[in-house]
Amino acid sequence: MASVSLERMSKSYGAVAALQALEMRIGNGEFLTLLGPSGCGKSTALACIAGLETPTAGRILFGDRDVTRLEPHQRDIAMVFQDYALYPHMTVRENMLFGLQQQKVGRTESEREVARAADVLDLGHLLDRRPAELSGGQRQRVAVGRAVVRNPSVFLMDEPLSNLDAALRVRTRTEIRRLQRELGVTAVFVTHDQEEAMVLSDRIAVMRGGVLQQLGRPMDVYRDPLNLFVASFIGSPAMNILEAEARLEGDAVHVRVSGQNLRLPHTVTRTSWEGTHKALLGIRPTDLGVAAPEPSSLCGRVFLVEPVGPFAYVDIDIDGWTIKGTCDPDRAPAIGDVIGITFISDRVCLFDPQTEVRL
Amino acid sequence: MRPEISRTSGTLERAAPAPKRWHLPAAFVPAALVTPGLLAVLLVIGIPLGYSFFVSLNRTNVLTHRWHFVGLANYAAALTDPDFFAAFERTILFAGGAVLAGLVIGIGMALVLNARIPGRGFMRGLVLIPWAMSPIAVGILWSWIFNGEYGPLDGILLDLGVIHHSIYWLGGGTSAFILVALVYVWNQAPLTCLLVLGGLQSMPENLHKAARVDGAGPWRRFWRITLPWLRPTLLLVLILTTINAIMAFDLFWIITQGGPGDSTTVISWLGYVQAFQYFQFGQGAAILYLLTLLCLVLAIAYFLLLLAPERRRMKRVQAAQRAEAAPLAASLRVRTPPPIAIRFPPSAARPVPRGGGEAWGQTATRIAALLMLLWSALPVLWLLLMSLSPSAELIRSPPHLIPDHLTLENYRAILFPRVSGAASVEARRVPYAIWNSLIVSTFVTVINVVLGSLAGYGFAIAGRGLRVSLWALMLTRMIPSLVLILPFYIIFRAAGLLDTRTGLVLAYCSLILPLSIWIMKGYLEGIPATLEQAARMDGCTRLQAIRKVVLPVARPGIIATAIFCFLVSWNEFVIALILTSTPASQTIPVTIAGFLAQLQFYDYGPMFAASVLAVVPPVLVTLFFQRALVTGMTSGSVKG
Repeated sequence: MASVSLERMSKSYGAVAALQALEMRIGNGEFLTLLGPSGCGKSTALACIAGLETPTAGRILFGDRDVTRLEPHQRDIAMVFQDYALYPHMTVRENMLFGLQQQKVGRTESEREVARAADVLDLGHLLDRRPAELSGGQRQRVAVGRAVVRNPSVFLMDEPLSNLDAALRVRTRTEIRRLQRELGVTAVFVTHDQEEAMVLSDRIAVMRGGVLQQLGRPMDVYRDPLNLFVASFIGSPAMNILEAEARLEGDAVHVRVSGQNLRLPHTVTRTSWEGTHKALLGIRPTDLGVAAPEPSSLCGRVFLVEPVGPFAYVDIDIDGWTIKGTCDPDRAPAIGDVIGITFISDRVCLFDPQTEVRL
Repeated sequence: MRPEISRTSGTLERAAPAPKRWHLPAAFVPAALVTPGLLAVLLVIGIPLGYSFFVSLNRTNVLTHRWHFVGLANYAAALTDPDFFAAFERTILFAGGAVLAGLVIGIGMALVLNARIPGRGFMRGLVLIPWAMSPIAVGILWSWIFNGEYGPLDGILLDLGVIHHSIYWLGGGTSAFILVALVYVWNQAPLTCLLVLGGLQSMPENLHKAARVDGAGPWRRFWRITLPWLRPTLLLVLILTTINAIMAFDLFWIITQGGPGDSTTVISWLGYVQAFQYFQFGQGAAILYLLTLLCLVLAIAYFLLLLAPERRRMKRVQAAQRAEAAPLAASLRVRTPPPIAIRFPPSAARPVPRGGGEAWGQTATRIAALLMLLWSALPVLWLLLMSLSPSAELIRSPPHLIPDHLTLENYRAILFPRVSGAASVEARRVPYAIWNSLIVSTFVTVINVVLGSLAGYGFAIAGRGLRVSLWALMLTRMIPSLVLILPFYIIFRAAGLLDTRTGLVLAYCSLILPLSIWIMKGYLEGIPATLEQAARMDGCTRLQAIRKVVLPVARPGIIATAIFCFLVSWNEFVIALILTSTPASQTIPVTIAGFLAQLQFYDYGPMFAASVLAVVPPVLVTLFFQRALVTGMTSGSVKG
């Protein structure tokens, strides 16, 4: 077990900067997720932690040990790959034993560890199969088992769930979380799936273009995004974005959207300004409801209703732009209805349209 | 209930950490892997090639053996010689015809072998046999079939009463030219078939299903779906077969010797005669250099022709990508789409194509399969039949198709010459020649698999840095082996390597090494990089990861490479012909050719028996490993 510290870690390939001065400390036993779209640098960061890539600048520490220049096999880590990377010429048992043999762990000791991991992951009946003879879910469990038996100080996972079908993915992520918590091992997880990141992590690091955007606990990142990118990337369906003008007045913010004036509590802002400021108003579909149209409320026309079970999404057209809200599926408006739109007003986020940062 | 996980920290008793070892910096690993292979290529190709060029700038006095520097005079002489241009014309004609016919037949065979026909695995092996046979055996077989006095072709036609007196098939200039080309196609079309079959098997099944749903019949699907999918494969096939055809030599040597007259004198034959029969090394080298140049120009032309449309399209894609980039805020807001205004016409208005072609197609496929069977197997069966015929029967005139009785005497004569007593001098050499062939092929295979795997892996994991040397490697495919034999001959004579097996092994590496590197690279690229990474996580050093994980996984590719090395070195003729002179190092193709040089009537039977023995190992290997060949060679390979 060890903490992992990245100190101004940068990586560039020629002129292309894949990581720019990444700075974070992952606590002992913490589950941290690197989240972002493809090309954001999350996998490069993981490869640097693993020792598969060497940073062009900065340091990586495991505990107090500087591992920046060490080979992967000198770092005492284990990794689960997106394609699992099971050795096709070895059986499940040999796959799990391989790492222990490389570390010169005794035969009986290794056998016991493998038996225990097989027990925990329900692989006992598969030990003599080759990877080609396993289903996708079984392969995934073997990959996790291979990493677990190593008893590593840091556990790395590179999108390990993305090749599973939806139902299995949900079940497996619970399993991974349970394992990590009970083993108490430090884990770094890479994904582009924000829901996975929310469910699994102690903390999430949202990345974009090689730059860390926000690092925080899942609900903090969800409720209090630092910028437009984080706001739009976390949460599904994505946050609605409307063009607006905002003015500070006493302890309230007056926002003008689509010809209507709305009054929001000042707690939605993080800065202050003089006069009227152009802004982008962000509100999550789950914080936006429908009501009877009133002269003082923001109105729109319903053009699609999508029931998902516990609630229904309503697509509403305002001046040619689409926004999404939610409603009770049993009391959904009809398509073509003109309706009023209600917000949970302290859940609104305001962004500067130029800098994309929270106002 | 799931068992509890107990983590008793530190229960694993690990050995004390190993003392720090020196590690090769990661950036140098590819270069380090590639170096031995490239050095070997430099040694067996680079130096001889340079030396050959130097030779082409000189003339030798045949009497005094003195060398005179003459600059480009040899080239000027060749380019002003009408004989050269006549040979040039024949080369183009031969290559054009052979490539075209080979392409049509090869694609046809691949289509049939890709279809669902009974006994497909067996058919696949069978079709490859003509290609696995050594060109010498092929030449012996066919020149006998076409023989005007004793040939079985005349035999059939006479027995059937189609003709009433023998025809000398190889006596006329035009007919000899066409027949050599035909034999060449018979020998080489399976190569096209093999590569195209690999391409066909990688085609996603749903492509054809989608096209059928779209109403495309088999004919249309072939032109619009299959051929475009095969485009990169066909580029490779075109380049390979064109170069092979331009450099073709063995069949000319064995069937026509450039004659009758000079009607089958192509450039490679002209260069050979100049260099090795008149011993005008400089003039010969110049001619062969011009041949190399021709291959190079053609390869580049193919590339431009077939890849240009793709390049133009990529440029448009990149331009569109640049225009597309938009700021984040704009991409987050969603415009309400306008209602759909387009009306699709009702489908009933369009004519529905008639079905029923599929049953016809199946019948046609079976007929084609039967024809293929006859085309591939009949001549081989003939060879077998002749090897079992008494010599006296073989030279009966007028010829008959079926001998009166069969005998194993021919095999006894070459395998147990002391026992049989009746064996001629040449027949006595066969066992040792087979031994020589085995030793040379084994060494060549081992050397090339080792160097090829290392360098192939180096190229597979290297970035752009090494790509230039990879292309330089592939360019060596454009060099006819005749160009390299000349310097080998001169250098080996000085180094005492002439007429030794070691010399042969060295020379064969020049032929095989670039391709074994290329095949291994293609195969190793298909192995996910994460496998090696996982091994490194598990505590392997980079070299351990390669040894314990990558190489075992690459076994099918290694087997394909080994087969390829074995086939080429076992069957090779012209290098062995020139670089060996005594039974001490002569390989089996040279020994068989030796029968022709001092042919006695009682030697015909043993000659055919020896040919069968020469054909057995490569054919067995091909039959046994045909699946590995098809999968392993799709990466871009192949026997010259």
